[in-house]
Amino acid sequence: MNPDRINPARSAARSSGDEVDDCAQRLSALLDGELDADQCTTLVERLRQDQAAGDTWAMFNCVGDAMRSADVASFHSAGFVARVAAALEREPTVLAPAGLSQRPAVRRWLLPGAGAAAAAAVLLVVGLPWRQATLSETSVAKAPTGPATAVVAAPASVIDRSPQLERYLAAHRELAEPTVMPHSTPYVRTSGALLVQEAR
Amino acid sequence: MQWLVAPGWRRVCTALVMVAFACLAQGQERSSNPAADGADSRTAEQWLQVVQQAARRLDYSGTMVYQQGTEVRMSRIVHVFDGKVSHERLQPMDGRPREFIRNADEVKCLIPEARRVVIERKARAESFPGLAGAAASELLQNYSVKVVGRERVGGFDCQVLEIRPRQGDRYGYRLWVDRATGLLLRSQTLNERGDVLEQMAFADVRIGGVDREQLKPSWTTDGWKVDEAAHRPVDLKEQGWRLAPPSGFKALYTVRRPMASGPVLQAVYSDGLASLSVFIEPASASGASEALPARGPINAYARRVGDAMVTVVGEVPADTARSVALAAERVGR
Repeated sequence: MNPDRINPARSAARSSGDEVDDCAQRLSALLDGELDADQCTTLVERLRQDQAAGDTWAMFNCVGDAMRSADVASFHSAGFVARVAAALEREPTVLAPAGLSQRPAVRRWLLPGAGAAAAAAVLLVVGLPWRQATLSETSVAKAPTGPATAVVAAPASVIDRSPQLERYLAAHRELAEPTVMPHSTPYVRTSGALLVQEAR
Repeated sequence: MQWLVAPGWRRVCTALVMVAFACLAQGQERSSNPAADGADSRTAEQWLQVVQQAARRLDYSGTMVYQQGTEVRMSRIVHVFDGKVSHERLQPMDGRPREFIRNADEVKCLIPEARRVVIERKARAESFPGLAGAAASELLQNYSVKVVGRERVGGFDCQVLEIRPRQGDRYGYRLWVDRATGLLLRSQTLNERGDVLEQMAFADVRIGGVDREQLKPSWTTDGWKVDEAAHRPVDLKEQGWRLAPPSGFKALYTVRRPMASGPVLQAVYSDGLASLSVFIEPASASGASEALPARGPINAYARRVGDAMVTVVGEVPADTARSVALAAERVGR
């Protein structure tokens, strides 16, 4: 029920005994949500620059995810880190002001108790396109230069998913409200986006 | 932490109803007319009962503000109770012009630029009182309720109620209730640290004396195309799935509905306050398990199960969304 109790990465890091790399240990601690914010920042910075650390991180996550689900091993292809790094590079600065407001939500995944692999997935893979897709409705529309290029350049599977998640969100909110007053509350939040969409 | 939310206002109201039922069921002090009791002597449970009655029976009109993170939406709302059912008109004040006209369980969405009306009928898995009766004791098992103070909101003297989850697998709520009428004027959804994830509040409200003319839509819809929202109720087991929502969560709907990617199975669960949906559709080649970033109180987790993609979306903590996704399994195939 709680696969995060088992941290294969931590086991892997320990299994090599005295020769355990300090970096691997810290990566494992990151996976376990045991690092504070400063340590996280430092380590993420190193991940960006240190290919070996990046490979270790990818391996840890792959092992962890594979233990949680056999289906996800393919998720971590060889070019994974490179693609993510490229996507990060392409993240347009125009998103920064709006992005600030999103940061706490993302950081939450790094706090103790949050799923470690989840933190990785959010930070590195899903977070940016989801944020872009979300923001594109609002902030980006007002921005002088949109992030269209970055959106197009990000991994296709992630891009494809974001609109679907928006639809899921609308579908959830429009059905999830029990029938008591004020009845129309879901539409306060969604403006009936899905109904409108289905009508077209 | 960004402003997150409380679960929907209606859900809060529903929960209040459930709690009220629970109080009755548990043989606690019962008032034939709680609204007539002195406000000072009400227990938290009695307050909830009052709120529930007020929400259904009061006529009111006002401007409701919804806030989550940097997002703010305002809507005009008019509510009239005719003695049997509720009638409502909701006008979002942002974005393209839309109006929602609700009579009992039927909602009409008016889309003027397309000259279309979309009708959505919410056929629930159980009738409301049945559901509430069944879930009431479980709601109190999962939440504690107490009166925490008295504050002025929007010019109204309000009682503040706090609803806390007994475990960390769901959020808590804070409610501001008008002491004179029992109308819920503000609700907040809180995480375990007390951060507000989302909130709804009346910026202005008029209670009573609502002219029914205000329920009429802004546009005459003669000649507009009328569509029914196409949710088709289905049986989860017949569809070959078993889901395991957290304790106290009951199925509200299980439907097959068309979406942009094709037909999707949606199962909706609620414990009276929190709710989540499980979406199941054929997986694309790129589908993989992943957590999706929190957005207000909303968390999501997608997981591939065989050739299907299971995505949990709900106003629940991230770990809860993940647990539900991980517990989804195929049966009978």
